[in-house]
Amino acid sequence: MYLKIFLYLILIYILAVAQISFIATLPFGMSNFNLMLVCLIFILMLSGFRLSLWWALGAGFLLDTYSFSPFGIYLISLFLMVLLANFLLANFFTDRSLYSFLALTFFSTIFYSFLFYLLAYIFSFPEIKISVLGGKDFWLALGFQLFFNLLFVSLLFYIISFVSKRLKPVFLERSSNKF
Amino acid sequence: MLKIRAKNNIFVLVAVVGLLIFLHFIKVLSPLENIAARAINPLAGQFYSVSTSLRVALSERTDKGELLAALNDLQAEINQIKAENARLKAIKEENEKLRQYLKFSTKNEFDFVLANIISRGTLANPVNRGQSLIIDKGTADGLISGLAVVNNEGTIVGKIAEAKENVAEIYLSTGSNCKLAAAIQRSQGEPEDANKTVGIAEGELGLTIRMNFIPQAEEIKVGDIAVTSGLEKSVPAGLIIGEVIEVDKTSNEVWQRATIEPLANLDELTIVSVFRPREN
Repeated sequence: MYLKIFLYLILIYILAVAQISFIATLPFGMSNFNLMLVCLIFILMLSGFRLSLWWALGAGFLLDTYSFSPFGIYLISLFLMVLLANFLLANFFTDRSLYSFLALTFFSTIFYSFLFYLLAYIFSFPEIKISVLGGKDFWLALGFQLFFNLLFVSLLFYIISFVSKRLKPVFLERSSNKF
Repeated sequence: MLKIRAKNNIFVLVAVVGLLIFLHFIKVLSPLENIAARAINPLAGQFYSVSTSLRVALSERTDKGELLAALNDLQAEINQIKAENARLKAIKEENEKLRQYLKFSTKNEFDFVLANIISRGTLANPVNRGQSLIIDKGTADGLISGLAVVNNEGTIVGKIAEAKENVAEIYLSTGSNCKLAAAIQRSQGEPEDANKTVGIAEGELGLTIRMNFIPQAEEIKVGDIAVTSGLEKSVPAGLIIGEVIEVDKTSNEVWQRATIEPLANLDELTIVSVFRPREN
């Protein structure tokens, strides 16, 4: 059990560093890709709600340590995002098809982005450093984030489908000896 | 029963989140945060270098690779010569002042700290992407807000905006949050006793720098070099900001404005130097 926890901490550490230092500097809008969010969605789908909440906690703490936004923004945003994703998963997107993954990622990304900027706006009051949902930068960043998150989810889904039977296929196979 | 246990788990985790935030603000979590930052910094620098190389490689076409490499070399050489020229001019002016004030003694007020860039834009400032950087040095290395940051050619690239114990955020000179007290150096051939034009240089749209509040009477030409004026306590004088590419002079305005193109390539930075006040 301790080995598992240690392994999870190492994985969270690597993902956080990749998000902070590698993805943030990529060109062509790829810097908006939210690796942490996508990983949390997959952990929620494959490993369960509780583990994804602990991952959100660890990832949020590491990101907040490096962020110059008020401490707690990433913690709260990721945590609430996982809560919402679990609610959607339990009540609407109950299967594990590609479409469920995509829909879950779509709504989670939108919720996370809006919540993040709202918290940044509130915490920066009265010395407001950003305008709430202001400017084309926010919408452009959201568009890029949605695009790359959904693209990565699709790729990861197919990769996991090859190696694991835990994901439902998109198309059902017809039985060859039906008639 | 399962639902109640699940709800209890959520409440426990909500309490943990609240506790973490509270412990951060009362500085109890600082040692843990410092350990996390120290653990991340080495790997973050490597990841950033790889990502920057990838970004630079993708932005250059392969069939023009050699030409671009030669152009970059020449540009770097030109920038070094300009930086050297600016430093020599500053030294010359200082020399003349010292002759006038015989008892004046020179002193080196700054040393510098080398730092790796570990992140760019997104984490530091999600809205103004590309206008800030994060480096792997902080208050533990004597960095404070307002210090000047230069590249390997001695050209100023920005100022420290905020410093934590092991990391610091830099506002790039082309970002709207970065303001520098600037001066326009006279070109060769102009009277040496003419006053240097002084104004405020601030970034615009993450691309260029605008120097505002220049008196109308001052003559500025395209090609003039903008340097730091030394009016800011924590920024040494004579650091090159950029080259004037456009002058906006309207006769019925109180001030004129100049557009400055930074001489430093802010997209390819991986290592910077921070000028730190020397402790007496």
